[in-house]
Amino acid sequence: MRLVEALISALMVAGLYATMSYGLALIYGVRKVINIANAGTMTLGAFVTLLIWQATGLDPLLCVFIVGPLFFFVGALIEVFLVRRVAAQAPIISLLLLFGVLLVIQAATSLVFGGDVRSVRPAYIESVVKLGDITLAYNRLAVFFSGLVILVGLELFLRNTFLGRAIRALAQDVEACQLAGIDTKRVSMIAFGIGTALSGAAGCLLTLVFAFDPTNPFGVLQLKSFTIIVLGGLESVVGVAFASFVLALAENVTVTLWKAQLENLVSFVLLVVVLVVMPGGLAALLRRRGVA
Amino acid sequence: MTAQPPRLGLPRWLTSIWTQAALIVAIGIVIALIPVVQPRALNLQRLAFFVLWYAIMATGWNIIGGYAGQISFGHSAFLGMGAYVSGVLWYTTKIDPLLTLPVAGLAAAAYSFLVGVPTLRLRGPYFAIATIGVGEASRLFAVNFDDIFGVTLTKGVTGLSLPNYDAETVHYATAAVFVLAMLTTLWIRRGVFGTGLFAINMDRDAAETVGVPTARLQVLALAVSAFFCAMAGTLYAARQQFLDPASMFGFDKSIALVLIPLVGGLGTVWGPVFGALLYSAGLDQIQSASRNPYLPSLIYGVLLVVIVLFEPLGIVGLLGRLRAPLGRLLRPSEGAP
Amino acid sequence: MRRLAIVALAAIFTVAACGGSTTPPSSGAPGSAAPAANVPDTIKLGASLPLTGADSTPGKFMKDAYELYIKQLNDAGGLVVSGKKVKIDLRIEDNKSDAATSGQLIEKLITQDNVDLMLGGYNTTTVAQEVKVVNRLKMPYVGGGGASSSIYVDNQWAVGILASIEKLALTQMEFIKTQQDAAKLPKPLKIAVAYENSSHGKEFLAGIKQAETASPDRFKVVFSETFDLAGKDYTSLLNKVKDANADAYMVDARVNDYITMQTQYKQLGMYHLYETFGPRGAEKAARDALKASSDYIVAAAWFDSLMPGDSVKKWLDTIKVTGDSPEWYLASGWEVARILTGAIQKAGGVDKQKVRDIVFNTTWDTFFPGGSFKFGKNGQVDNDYVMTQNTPDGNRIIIWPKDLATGTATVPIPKK
Repeated sequence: MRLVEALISALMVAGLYATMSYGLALIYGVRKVINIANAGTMTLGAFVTLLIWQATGLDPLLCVFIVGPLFFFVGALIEVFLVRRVAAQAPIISLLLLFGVLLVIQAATSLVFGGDVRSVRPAYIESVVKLGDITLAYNRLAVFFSGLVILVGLELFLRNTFLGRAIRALAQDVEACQLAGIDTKRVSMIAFGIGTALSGAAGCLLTLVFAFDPTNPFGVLQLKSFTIIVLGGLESVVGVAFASFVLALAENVTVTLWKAQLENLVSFVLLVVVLVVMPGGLAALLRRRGVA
Repeated sequence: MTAQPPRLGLPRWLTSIWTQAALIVAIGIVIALIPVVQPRALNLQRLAFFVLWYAIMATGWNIIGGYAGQISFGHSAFLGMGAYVSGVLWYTTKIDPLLTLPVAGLAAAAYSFLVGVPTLRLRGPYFAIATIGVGEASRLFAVNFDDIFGVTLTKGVTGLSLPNYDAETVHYATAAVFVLAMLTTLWIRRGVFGTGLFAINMDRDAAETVGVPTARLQVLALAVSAFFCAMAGTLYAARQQFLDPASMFGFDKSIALVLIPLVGGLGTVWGPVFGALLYSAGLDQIQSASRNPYLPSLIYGVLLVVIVLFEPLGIVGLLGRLRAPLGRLLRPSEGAP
Repeated sequence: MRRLAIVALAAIFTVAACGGSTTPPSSGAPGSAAPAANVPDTIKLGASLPLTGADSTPGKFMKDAYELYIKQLNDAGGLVVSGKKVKIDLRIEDNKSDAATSGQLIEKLITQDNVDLMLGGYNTTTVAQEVKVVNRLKMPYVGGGGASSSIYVDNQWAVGILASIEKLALTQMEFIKTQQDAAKLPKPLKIAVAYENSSHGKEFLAGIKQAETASPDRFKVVFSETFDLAGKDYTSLLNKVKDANADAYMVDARVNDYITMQTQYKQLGMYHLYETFGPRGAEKAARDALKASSDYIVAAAWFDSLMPGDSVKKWLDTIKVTGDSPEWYLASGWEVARILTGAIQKAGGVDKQKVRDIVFNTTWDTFFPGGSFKFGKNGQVDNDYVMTQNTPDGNRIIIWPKDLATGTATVPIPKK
């Protein structure tokens, strides 16, 4: 029984995990760089949501529709003015650059908002939905469904629109795209924008579940999202969704069967184990995709 | 690329490895003499310790991150490992912590094998990502060790209060470890080992083609790197006499170790020292003046972005611009990362 | 380049070293001759507090208390030391809730800013590091933000005005005994303990276990598990608590975790006869967030503003200007500043050894429970705790000790 509950609880958390990791996969696809600034834009997203909620009382779920477009432009700007300039150099240079962006965002957020822990508590925060013996918190259900909607929307976009297909093509082979007349610069910018918008959206959703300050829990979540994309194969949106669930399940089962304090350890052990046990498989995967 | 910097304009004796080594030893001696000459200048001793402490770790980081081009975001794992190995030995068996310097170093080097052997074989961002996981997993491990194994060793988040220890002795030891680290990095930089690492950094495939054992060299570089970070951990344990997982294994320490060599000059011998000077002493004074703990991190973040965009060789590169011939001399080579 | 490097190195070093002090730190007034002659014109006090990060809320409270106390002294012309009015210069640094940073900041305050004496910081781990540093540099330190007895091992120079966390738990157990005797709670009481993964939490559990060992007929710990600070989801843990079928639910958690955990507790429709969150239950931040969900929760703290007595009322009037809710942190910071400045007056100056001896050897009066502080050899006090219970009208009452009680406890908690 408790395991069934752990399974359902994992599903709920997976929605948030997936939303914060989709963007990483998209950006890795087009730029072959881990967007280490992802946690920074997520932090910003959460604080923007807090501001909107405090000012207007708008539900954090609806804030997604404001934060998303806004952060699309933030991401596009980062791509055009920063990442693009070092695109010709080794991927590690882009990584360091984005790392600088992360530090700037975090320090700026701390300067502006101070280090206090904040929380967004809409009226329904204690509401629950009962399914037989199982109690589901309303806010968690909302986060789960948002994650699901974003997944479906993203997959439809990537499969059925020209732009989406261009993003996928770019992830496969840059040169072929250029030969086919795709404006790779524009596609990269858009993909970066969408990726950032998704991290902003994750920031919105996160406010429903966590209390937060400029560094917590974003750091831990950032590391978890790395585990997720490595597990999910770096570029696949569906892989990310699946990996999110696997991680959330592993965490919940650990807490249920063993000790609550080991929850965060699970993801890092999982990350290292995946890297150690399946390096050949992952390397092969990478090589097949022309990364190496 | 060549590992030997071109000698432009300056007499050969000045650029020779022996002059450099002598300079390192001289700096070490000058710093070591601070408590002897100025026994009451505790502030200078404090600044000297933390500058050297960061310089030792950053020099270590630079061997894998700068020379071999494998960026690690988890070097606090090795710092914490060293600190805790010495701290726990001291606490439980009363062995003088400075005697356990090599033990801590070797333990961390062994730990680095576990991490490095599987991940350094991979291309792409795997090593960088894996190190983040390793750093954080190490912290959580230290936090939960007592509960997982039922043995009181790390005391978890409570932290380990250690016996009192003479700060002056630690000062001398720190100067000595600094000299050792600098001589090692100089020797690697100028020797076959360093040439191999730079070759991997430039073009791994080409390096493999000409028979450079790429994986083995990188794993070895990581081990040397971990060795020095762990010794820094021991020095810290002996001086501050208090260890807690968040401070020792914290992500902020790992970040500092990326920033310092980058700001100072990635892949250069002296870059980490300049970076540490600016980071430790500079940060200290900026915070003192502004009373704001976030201003320094903001400045360093901006500095990082600017450096990556415009001056990949950091302070060393800037000094080089000031005096072009000197600069070219300082650079590892034209077009190095 | 070599010369350049050396010059640059030397230059930066010099600049950094001269940043604060060119004079070596004075080791207090030389000798202890004629105190009046040694009274400086200003006295520098230093503190390193968590103004940002995980502990920023208590940090701000302590900062406000320190600043207000010192401001009052300075507004009155200064602290009267041996007949002379001395201005107090207070220097507070932000340690970002990080122990190592705090240790380094304290060392800087002492060696670079040449502070004369130290006021204490907050959070057990941080205070433990600070105590190590002040012992190395032989600097008197009066603290009100770390309660764990592990802080005070090998300590000569620091004192703390908070009684240990074990005692906090033991006080609650004493109270429960009276409720058992009144047949309001069952005997033995089945207890589920969840505690934060910190020294604070561990000592909380240790106190409960100690009571269990002493009276096995009264207490039975049926579940105990620790959780990480700043967690997001406690439902799995709470489900285990549910399965344990306990009568009492005793938790030690920080305010944010308390809010998250209690929200989920209510979501899961859980109920116990007795519920406590260590020292946190009554805090305003949590009451505001949780509202009715925090009703009937019992708390034990070092101080409560509802305590009777004129000195408490006077203090409440005084601190109104800070706009802070009068939590125990604020009271603790206030008392710490009062004790340290009192010690300066008694010592007739800032001679470190003298101030230290006076701090240790004096019985200080206080508005904390017990009425006075007497520091033990290790520097810690052993004062009583005061217990409160939240009431459905959004207020709370003092329920323990009996002589301070302002109402009768509602035990067991009514089932809705």
